[in-house]
This record gives sequence, structure tokens and C-alpha cells, in this order.
Amino acid sequence: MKRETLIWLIVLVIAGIYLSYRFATVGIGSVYVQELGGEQAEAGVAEIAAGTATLSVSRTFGVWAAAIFTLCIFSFLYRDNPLYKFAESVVVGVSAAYWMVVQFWGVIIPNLLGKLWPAWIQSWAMPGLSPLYGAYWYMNLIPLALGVMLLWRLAPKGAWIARWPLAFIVGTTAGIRMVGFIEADFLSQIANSIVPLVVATDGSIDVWACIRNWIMILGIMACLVYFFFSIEHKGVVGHVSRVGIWVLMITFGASFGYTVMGRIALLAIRFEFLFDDWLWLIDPLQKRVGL
Amino acid sequence: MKRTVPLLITTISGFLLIAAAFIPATESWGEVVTVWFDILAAIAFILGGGNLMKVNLKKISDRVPGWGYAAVTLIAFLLTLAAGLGKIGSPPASDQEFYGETFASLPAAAFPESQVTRIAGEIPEKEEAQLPDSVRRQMSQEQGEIVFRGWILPNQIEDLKSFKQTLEWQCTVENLAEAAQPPESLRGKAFYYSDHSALSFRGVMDEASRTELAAMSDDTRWQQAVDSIYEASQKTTTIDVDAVPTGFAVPASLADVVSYSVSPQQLSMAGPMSRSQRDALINVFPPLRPASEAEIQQFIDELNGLGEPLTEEQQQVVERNLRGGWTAEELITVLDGAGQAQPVAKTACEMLAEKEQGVTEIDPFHPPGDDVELTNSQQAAIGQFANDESITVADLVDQLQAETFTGAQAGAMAAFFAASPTAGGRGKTIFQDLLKLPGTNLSTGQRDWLLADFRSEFEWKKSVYQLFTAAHTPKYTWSGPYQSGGNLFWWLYEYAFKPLTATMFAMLAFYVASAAFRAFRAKNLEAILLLGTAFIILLGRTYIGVAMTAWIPDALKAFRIDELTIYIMSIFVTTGNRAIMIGVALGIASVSLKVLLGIDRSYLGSRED
Amino acid sequence: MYQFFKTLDRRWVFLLMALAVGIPILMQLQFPEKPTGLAVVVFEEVERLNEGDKVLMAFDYDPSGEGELGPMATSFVRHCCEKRLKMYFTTLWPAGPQMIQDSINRVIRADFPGLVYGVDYVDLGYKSGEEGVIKVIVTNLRQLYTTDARGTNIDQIPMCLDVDNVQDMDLIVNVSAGYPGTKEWVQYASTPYPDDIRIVAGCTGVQAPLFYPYVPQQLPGMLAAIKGAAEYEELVVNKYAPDGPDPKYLEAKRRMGPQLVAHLLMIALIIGGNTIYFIERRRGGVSA
Repeated sequence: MKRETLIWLIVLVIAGIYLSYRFATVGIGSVYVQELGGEQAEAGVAEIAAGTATLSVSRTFGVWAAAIFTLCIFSFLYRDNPLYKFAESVVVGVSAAYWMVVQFWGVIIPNLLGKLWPAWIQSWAMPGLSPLYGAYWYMNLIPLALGVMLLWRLAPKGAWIARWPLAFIVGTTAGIRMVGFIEADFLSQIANSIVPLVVATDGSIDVWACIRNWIMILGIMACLVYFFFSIEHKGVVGHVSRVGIWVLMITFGASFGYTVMGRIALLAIRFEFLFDDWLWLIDPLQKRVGL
Repeated sequence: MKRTVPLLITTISGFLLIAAAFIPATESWGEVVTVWFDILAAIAFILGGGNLMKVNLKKISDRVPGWGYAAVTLIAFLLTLAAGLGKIGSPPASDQEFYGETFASLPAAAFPESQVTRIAGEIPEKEEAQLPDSVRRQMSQEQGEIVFRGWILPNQIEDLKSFKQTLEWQCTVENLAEAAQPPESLRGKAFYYSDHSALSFRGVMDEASRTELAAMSDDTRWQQAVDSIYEASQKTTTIDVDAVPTGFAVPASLADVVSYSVSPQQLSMAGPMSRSQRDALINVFPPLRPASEAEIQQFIDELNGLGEPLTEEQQQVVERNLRGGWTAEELITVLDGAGQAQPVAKTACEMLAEKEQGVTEIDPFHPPGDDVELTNSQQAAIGQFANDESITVADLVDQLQAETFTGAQAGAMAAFFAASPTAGGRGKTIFQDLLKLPGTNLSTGQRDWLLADFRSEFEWKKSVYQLFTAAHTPKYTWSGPYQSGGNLFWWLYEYAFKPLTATMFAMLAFYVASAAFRAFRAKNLEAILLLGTAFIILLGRTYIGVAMTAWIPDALKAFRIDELTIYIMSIFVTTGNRAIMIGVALGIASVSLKVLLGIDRSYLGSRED
Repeated sequence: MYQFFKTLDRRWVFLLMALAVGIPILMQLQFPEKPTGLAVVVFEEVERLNEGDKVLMAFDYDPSGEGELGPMATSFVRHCCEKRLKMYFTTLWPAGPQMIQDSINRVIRADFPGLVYGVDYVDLGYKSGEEGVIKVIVTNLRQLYTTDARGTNIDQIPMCLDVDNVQDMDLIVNVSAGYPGTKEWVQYASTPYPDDIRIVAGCTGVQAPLFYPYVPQQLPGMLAAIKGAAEYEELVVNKYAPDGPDPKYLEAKRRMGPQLVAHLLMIALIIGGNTIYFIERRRGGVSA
């Protein structure tokens, strides 16, 4: 592995020299902001040219940090390595805290604490809230109690207390889902599958529409026969379920095609960030024209 | 017991939600249960964060191999949490700060008895609704009178008006709105916000106002509030300014609060600054007059002299921008339009009076007055203003007011000039338009000259904002959004969370390529169908599919790859996915029932503890 | 040669993919787009609305989906601004609020500064509970949303005064990256209230085939993957900025360039892999 390490070291040194050179001369990865009344907005070409925009050190450092994080994650493609592990640890920590903060300010403060102690919440966190108690405000003590019980799961003893709120969550999810799925995915789909077998428009039969509807109805029935595992797939049932498999294969092939499209778009935006915001090699949004 | 109660909870909550979907009477219970579910979902995230901390702390304390990464996770977690919960770097919510007003805490009970309003009337009884939240604490019914403890605010008037639609109530609200106001001398300056428990005064409190307010009540809390506002509003804020607009003079409307000294160059504000005062101080730049042909030529000549001469196309761009300003005719049309008589709405009390007199068809509007049009001399004054830069807006207003000039017309003129670009705005637009042309290469001199006005206007705006912020004492420091652009939490999101999660997902593109090469084998008919469809979709959803089969004639266009794609998606994919959906729905229904009926108890965990 | 490909290290395939996506981006390769079927339907759904109609913009995605969905969101907001519709932004994803803010900054504050917050558009923010949120707000918005994302009381926001629930909206525009997303909106909003709620959606490539069964009864129109985004962009730009649109409204079209090359690479890889497989089978060394 020594030769590999040497090659990588050389590559990194050359890259480092190139990046430092470009940063020193052109200022790649720099971000300019226009500040007004304490609020910062990203500056356009005119603002930079006029000199009213200032270089934002924190944002420039941020772009470089983001680029290095991106490359750290990509390094996993070559081999698992400490840089990747480091980046992975950072993302786990930041995302967990991020979601916690969003829940706290977005749901717990307005919808739980704001309903139980509106005057207190209004006085420091949400001045727009009405400090009056709503009707039946005390009912919100129940989710508060359940929430505390849920957090009990972290305690060394008595983790069984968390079963109550978990049971509530499981029960409500099951209740909501069952009705939603049966209505939208079962009954509605059956209703949508009932299409005319003979399509007549203005007195003449539309052959293509008929064929299309026949394919749909027969296809759905064939697929459903395939899913019915309580009968052995032999003879007529076997042949019909084979047709069902073919329809499903076409479905999966199309899904694969769309999945590929989706994945590649994700990669494209990452490369756009690296080439545009960091290395300044391309300028599709014309953010640096004339500079 | 430990397992029975949870089972009961599951069953009851689940079936309640199912019942709520079918029985309208239980719909509100279903809503309540769902809201609790939403809250618990939020708390589950907190549980997740807590669990993360517990697991990583254990790894660090046990010194398992790789505990360094656990330390990194923990540090990143705590830093982001602190930044988010503490709202580090977030300005207070701009909509809740009541700029220009000074607050002093005052509980509702301390509001002066002498200012309590009593008018004859009856608060309507409504079965499902109480009085609106904004007035409930201050309004009550006592012995045939409506009592209002406070000075009524516009939003409270609106809420009361929408409470009941009858003319009698509307008239009562109008009477209350008239009566529940501070004395004439304090109107528009003193306010009481019951929701914020605050007495408020707009601008600087003078001695006369202070005396008048102090006389209203002997309560110590009231006296303290008045005194603290008096002291706080006397504060004068001064900032240094680098440059002022040429010919700067403090606008008349701000003359008693804003002062400017030439040396040292400083701008001062007495008391807090409101947003409208700030905007008035910013908009001191005179409106651009329409450019004459000579002025356009001079502009182009000067631009040419500073660098490479302009090409034909560039010259056209510059001329188009310079000619595109307002014209005197446009302004006259706008003012004539504003002078057209608008019907004035009758008050509810007027309409009630008509109703009591027996009028059956009540017109909600007074008949409109006469239209006002600009006279010839007024039009001439506008024409002169357009051509002569020495005439200021104030001069023009004086000339127009010498004859009939309504308030609506004055407002329309102010709005017209506010909407037209200033010299800086025009320079910036010319610069941006020139850059859009390919091959434009402006010299530094040309650039600086074009943007000089923009720069000076921005520097002035920045100074005014600085004064605005310095003169304001935040009332709710923690009310701002936790994610305002520029603060630490935003930085962590934009430069750590976003690139890391996006890149994690972007890796999938590589894996899908590797899988395609190593695993996708056309072993049998089914696999061939799958791969064949994949090929058609992959080609058909890009330009190459269109180009490859564009030669197929229209009669057979169904065989073009892009058309084939549409048929595959709308017929076969719909068919297959519909069958899958039906199957999945049945599966979900069966699993849900098993859970709700207690047959499947796996979510309760193992039988230990 | 055959041995080389048979034992090819997958990292060479990774490199090929990186080049297939990276080089077209560097060369800024672009191809013309022709709007088809569902993208036209989505466009018409928004076009048929009148000034002042209410649109719920449900942006249910986070940075991981921004590649495909960012351009859709930008174009949707642009289209609604041009039509002067009233926009109500919400999200069911914790990282969604920033996506909403990005769209507001990128489109509304940059190109439509005349639109007023609270009168023309409002950001209601995030609420947890996934489909539970949808279930509540289709009948009662204020049960969950007492303030907007900035903390202003919802009863003090002019455009929220006459909105009791989602059924008061004239259209729901949903941009969805996964769960919760379009499926939940269809299941809990448009299916129970087929006459009051109409939804058009933009979704990722992974999800798109799964929603075809909902079209057109429960989901009149859908933008599928980056291709759908590019087609919709084309429609919006052709109608509202035919000469010289701002490049930020053509992001999806730019990303279709690398798509084409990468798709060709995928096909080549599949054919290559199968060629090796068939050679191997003919040499009789492997079981099928």
C-alpha cells in the first residue's frame, strides 16, 4: 500500500498548490454579502462591482468547508478512510441536533408549551401569540405527560414506562394509515380500474383506447393473480400469473429507469456546487460576469 | 399491567381515529388525537437526540475503538443544538418589535380607571363563540353598558366588527372605537397593548404628554411606567456618517427628531425610529427627471471617454434605459386618475339611522363628489418640473396646491416618484443590462462612473439602517427565527448539514452504475423485459431518444421512443403499480388490524422488564 | 480483454460515472426540451387559476432531493408569482423550512419585490406528525398553525383571515422527495375530498412510477424527476420570459445535459456487463 499512499500524497499536494494559487489570485470560493441593518444578503455582480458588498469571511470559510466535506464523503468510493468517518460523524451529530431544534421551535413551543402556558411563551418566545388560554387547554397536559413518559426511555431504569406513549403512537399510526390506504390505495384504485371495455366516441369505436383499457384491466387482474399465493400457480393460474410477472417486470424496468434519472440529478447538483461555487470553473447563473 | 395498558391505549386510539373518519360527531376527537400524535412525533425527535448523546457518551467513556469519532459526533451535536436553541445571532422578529415605540410593562389591572370607556350597548351572545381573543380581557358587560378597559387598537376594531354582522353591532363598535381613545393630544402617540401587557408611547415623550399621562392615575405601577417611558424615549442616538447625499437636508416630517451636524459628520435621532421614519430618511434622493436628447448624448460621450467606446448594441441599451423614465404626460394621467371621485363608504351608524327611518334599500356608499382634474397651469408646472432640476418636489407641491389638489392626488404623486428609479437605480440597471450583452468589457473607470450614484445611495441607506438599529431597544430578543440567514445555525445548515446529506445521497449514482455493470443480467424473458423497458425509458426521457427516432413518420409516431415512453408509463406502469398498491393496501389493513386488535404485540418489546 | 473486464475493479466504473456527469457540466452541454403530457397538464392547472386564488405550496423535501426538486420549486413559485396567486408555504419535513426560505429569497424577493409578505405570500413553516398534519389541516388549519413561521399570530395575517382549512385552497402544489409527500397528500387530502381539493405534484424519479396510478383522478398532473422539471421550466419560461430568462429558471435544463451522457453510460454498462455474462456462459464456466 505504500505506493498508493505516495500517489495520493502527490495528488493532494498538487491539488493543494493549485487551490492555494487560485484562491490567492482569483479568490475562488469567496462569497460577498451586502449587509443592511444587521441582515446579510448574498451580493450580486453590481453590488460587488460598486464596492458596496463586503467579503464574508464566515461564508467563504463555509464554502471551503462544504467542499472539503463533499470530497471527504466522495473519498469513500475509493476506500473507507478516516476522512470519510470524520465527515460521517459530523453529519450524524449535526442532523440529529438540527431536527431537534426544528421540532422544539416549530412544534413544542407553539403547540404544546404555548397552549399550556401561553402568557409565559408570549412574553419571551412568540410575541404574536395570544396570552389567553384556549378552550380545553388542560387537555394538552396529556401529550405533555405522554412526552415525558417517552423521554423516560433514556433513563437507566423504568424504560417500560415509554411503552404507553409508544403504544399511543403505534395505535394512531395504524388507525390513520388503515383508513387512508384503504380509501386511496384500495377502493379508489379499484374504482379507477373500472374503465369501459368498448370506447365509443361520436358513434365510432376508438380502437386504441379499447386496446389500452383491455390491457389495463387484464394486466391488473393478472398481477393480482400472481400475488395470490394461497393457490398453487399451476395450469391456467400459472399461465395467468406469468403474464402478471411480465407486466410487473415492465413496471420495474420503468422504475429502474426513473431511479437512475433521480440518482444522477443528485450527483449533478453536487458537481455543480464544486465547479461553480467552489472552483469557479463555470458560471451558469452568471454570478461573476464582468468581474 | 405493564403490557395490558399499552395494548388498551393502542386499541382505543386506533379505533377512535377509524371511527372519526366515518362518524362526523367524533371528527373533533379524531382531530385532537391526531394533534397529540403530532406533538409526540416532535418529542420522539428529542428522544432521538437524547439517545444519540447517551450512546456516544458511553462509547467515549468505554474507550471503544473509534471513540474519537463519537467525540466528533457529540461536539457537532452540542454545537448545533446550542446554536439553534439559543438562536445565536438571530435578530428579533421584525414584525413584533413595534419600531418607533417605547414600551413599559403595565398589567391590565393598573390601567387608569379614568380612561375606562363606558358606552351604552349590548355584547351579542353567541353560542359557539366568545368575544375575539384580542379583546376578551378588556371588554365586559356591566349593567347595560359595554366597558372597555384600555385604548382600542385597529386590529381589535376589525376583530370586533367581524364578530357579528348586524348593523346595530357594527354601529356599537364604531361608537366604541370613537370613545375608547386617549385624549386628543395623545391620540396616535399613546397606546396600550393588553396582549403584551405594555404601555407604549410613539417617539419622544415631551413634558406636556408626561404630565397629562401622569395625571390619569395615582397607581404606582402607572406612574413608574410613564416615568420609565419618559426616560427611555429621551435617549438620543448618534452615529458617524461617511458621506451624505449632495444637498442633503433633513425632511420636514423628521425635522423635530432627526438632526445632522456637518463637522463632525454625524446623524442623530431623538428617541426610537419607526420604519416609516426610516424610509422617509432614506428617500431623500430627488426623483430623476426625464432625460433630454442632449443629456442622453452627454451621458454616452462621457461613458465613451472613460474606456473603450460603446458598440452599437451597447449604445442602444444605454439609450433605452435613459429614455425609459417617466414623462410629464404619464404623471398628469396618474394625477387625473387619482383625482377621480371615489365613493365614500357610509359608516354603520349612518346606515343604521337610515334603516330606522324606514329606508328599505340602503346604499352603502355616499354619492361620489366631483372629479378633480389638473388645470392648465398645474400641468404647465409639472412640465416645468420635468425639465428643470432646480425645482424640487416640495416646490412642485406648493405650486400644485395653489389650486385644487386633493390628498389622494398628493398620495398618488408620492407613490409615483417612489416607484420611479433614482439615479443610482438607473445606473445599476444600465450596468446589469450591459453585462447581459455577450462580449461586454467595461473598464474600471466606466464601471465606477456608472455605479457611483448607486454606491452613494447604498452607503446612505446603510447609515440610516445603522441609526435605525442603534436607536431601537429590542423588546423580544428571542422572538426571531432560529434560522435567519447569517446566524450560526444557518451556517451549520448551509455548509455542514446540506452538503453532507446531499453528497451522501449523490453517492447512490455511483452505486447504481456499479450495480448495472455487475448485477443486471438478461438471464430469462422476465429480465429481458425489465432491461428492455429500462433502455427505452433511459433513452426516451432524454434528448437522444427524441433524436434517434425523429425520422419515424407521423402515422407511426407511436413507435418513436419518446411516445413509447409515455405509453409504457401510462399503461403498463400504471397497471403494475395499481396492482401493487392494491396488494400493499390489503397488507397494511391486515397489519393494522393485527396491531389494533392486540394480535401483534411486537412493538411492546421483549418480555423482560 | 475479457479477463480484464470480468475482474474489473468497481472503482473504474465509479470514475467513468464521475466523468460522465462532470465533463458535460464543465462543458455546459445542453439539449432542447419538448414539453410532454403530464408537464403540460400541470402547467395548465396553474394557468387556469385567476389572480388572487389561493395556492398551498407544500414543499416536502430537503437538501438531499434538491437536485431534482429545487428547479421544480423555483418554477412553481415563479409561475404563481406571474399569475399573482396567493401562496401559502408549508412543509412536512424538518429541513423543509430552509427550502421554503430559499425559494422565497431566490424568486420572490429577487424578482418580485412588489409582493408583500402577509398579503401575497406567507410562510406557515413546519409541523411534525407527517400524515397526521395533513389529516388535521384538511378540516382545521388553526388546530396546528397558530402562528406563521416568523411567530406572527395567524389571525393578524391578512391573507389567512378567510382560510379555515386546506379545502379553502384552490390548488395544492406539492413538491415531494419521499415520505411524507405526494402519497400522503393524495391519501389524506384529495381522496377524501375529491371535489374540494386538487393537487399537482412534482416528485423525484424514484417515486414517480408509484404515483402513476393516481393520475388523473386523484392527482391530475405530476412532474416526474428532473425531466419533468425541465419540461415545466420550458413551459413557464416560454410563456413568461421568452427572450432571455434569468439562468436560475433553467437549472433543470442544464442538469439534463449530464443526464443524457450518464444514461448512455448506464446503457453501455448494462450491455457490457451482459456481454461478459454471455461470453462466460458460452465458455461454459458458470451457472445461469
